[in-house]
Amino acid sequence: MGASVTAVERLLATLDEKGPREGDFPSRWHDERLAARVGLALGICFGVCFVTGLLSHLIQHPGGWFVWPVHPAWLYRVTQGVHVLTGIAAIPLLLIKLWTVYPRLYAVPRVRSALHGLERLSVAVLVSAALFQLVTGLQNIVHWYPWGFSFPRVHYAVAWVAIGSVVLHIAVKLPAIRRGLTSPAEEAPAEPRPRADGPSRRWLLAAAAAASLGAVLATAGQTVPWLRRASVLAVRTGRGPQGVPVNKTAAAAGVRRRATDPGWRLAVTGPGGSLSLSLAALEAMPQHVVELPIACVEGWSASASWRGVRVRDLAEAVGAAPDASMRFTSLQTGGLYRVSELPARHVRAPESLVALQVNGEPLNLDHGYPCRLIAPSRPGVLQTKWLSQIEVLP
Amino acid sequence: MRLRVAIGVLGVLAIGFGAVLILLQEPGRIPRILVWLAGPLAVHDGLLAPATLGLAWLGRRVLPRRVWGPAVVGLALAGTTVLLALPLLLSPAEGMVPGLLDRNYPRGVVIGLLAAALITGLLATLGRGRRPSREAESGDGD
Repeated sequence: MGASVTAVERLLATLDEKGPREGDFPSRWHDERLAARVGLALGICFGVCFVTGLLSHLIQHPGGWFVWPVHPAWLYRVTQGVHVLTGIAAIPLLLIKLWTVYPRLYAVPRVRSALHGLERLSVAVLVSAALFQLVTGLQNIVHWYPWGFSFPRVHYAVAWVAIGSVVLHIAVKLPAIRRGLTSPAEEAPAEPRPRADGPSRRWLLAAAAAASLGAVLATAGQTVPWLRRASVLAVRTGRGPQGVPVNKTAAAAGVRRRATDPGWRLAVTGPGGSLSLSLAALEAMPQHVVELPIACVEGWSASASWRGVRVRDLAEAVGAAPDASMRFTSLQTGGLYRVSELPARHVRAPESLVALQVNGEPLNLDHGYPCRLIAPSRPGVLQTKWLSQIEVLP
Repeated sequence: MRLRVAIGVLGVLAIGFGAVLILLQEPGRIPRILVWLAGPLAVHDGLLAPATLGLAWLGRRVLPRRVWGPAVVGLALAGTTVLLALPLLLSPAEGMVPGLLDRNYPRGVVIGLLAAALITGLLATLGRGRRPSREAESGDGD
């Protein structure tokens, strides 16, 4: 231990002596005017990303006070699409923002005072939390989980660290931000020229704008249908079996055998009794057709035509009160999304269906055969597939 | 000043809330979480930023001064293309879920890089037609 501490001390001393220093970076682009401007765009992206992410979290973990509207049906499709796209737009913005302040990393003395040390620590927390959110978010949408912790939990927790660090950073840097934003990007001709001249500062702003708009254009097709052809780096085209993408297959959920069992029944229970419905019995009930998007937490979405039995018809059949919410349970034996709750407003909505068909065909096994929940403005993970049980909640 | 302190306190509270969430919900995974917090930071500060500095150094030596600006736009576009493509190309989930990763991504990368080159070329050509900008005029005189 003692030996390694002296080794670290020696390394730091060598860095101090021979390593780069703040003044060794003469480019005009390491500059507070640029940092403030790119930082403003980045702050807006992070703010929007945080709010939309928080909404998605609250929809999935509702507290008593939180009310998420049923209409418009595309609301979640938009908020979650925006969540992923603002995160993607933030990637080049964050890297260019870091470029404008990179020399600060080599400021000497490294720590002037306790307060200065704290400030530097807060910047380290800010940058790591921001990078963490972008890296893990991007990996989540391609289903790549090399880290061994719960993505939804940690992405949510670190979101608070990231947004808190942004807010703290704004408080600390407020005078510099004001100075940066109020002075023009270019010096007046009379101002002394910097040591190393380079292209105009506006080029870096142009690069930031072009790269973040380009990144959005290259990926937005996963949720914006008319951009599908242009978005060459979108995670999904929005197509899939029966015209709708899938996130969890029947094989991955381990439900293939039970879902295709001829003895399958949907149990519906409520204060007025319980029903055990075969697929034929469900088909014999009044069928309704609705056009609803399936919108994933991963930011992709696709609209489809669903046909099935109204949830509220089933609720009434078992004597549910008009303000009752319902719990939907899948044939899955495990997994985060085996069970979902449908708030009363959604239960009453005429568009909420226990769907038996999609786009004119019986649901494919991967879409939740024999039947699934589909309701307006909800994350896809809560549109429970392979239903086995529906209960009216007290 | 009072406003700044209030904003700062709000920020610290939010950071604390996030930290408490991690401590309560994933106490056994804290070392892994710290690795994933520090890793991207180290990769950026130690690898990506120095590599970009190297490219900038090289660009200043091999490219004519009037295309430096357009080249930076091109570098940002090309770099973003590569960064966005990495998870698409490296994800082990390809082919496991219907509709996931269902595009030709090497082709997407080529299109992204071609677009970056095209835009850079266009900006440089447009810039040549204009009268020399201020920084190009004063560049030698400083």
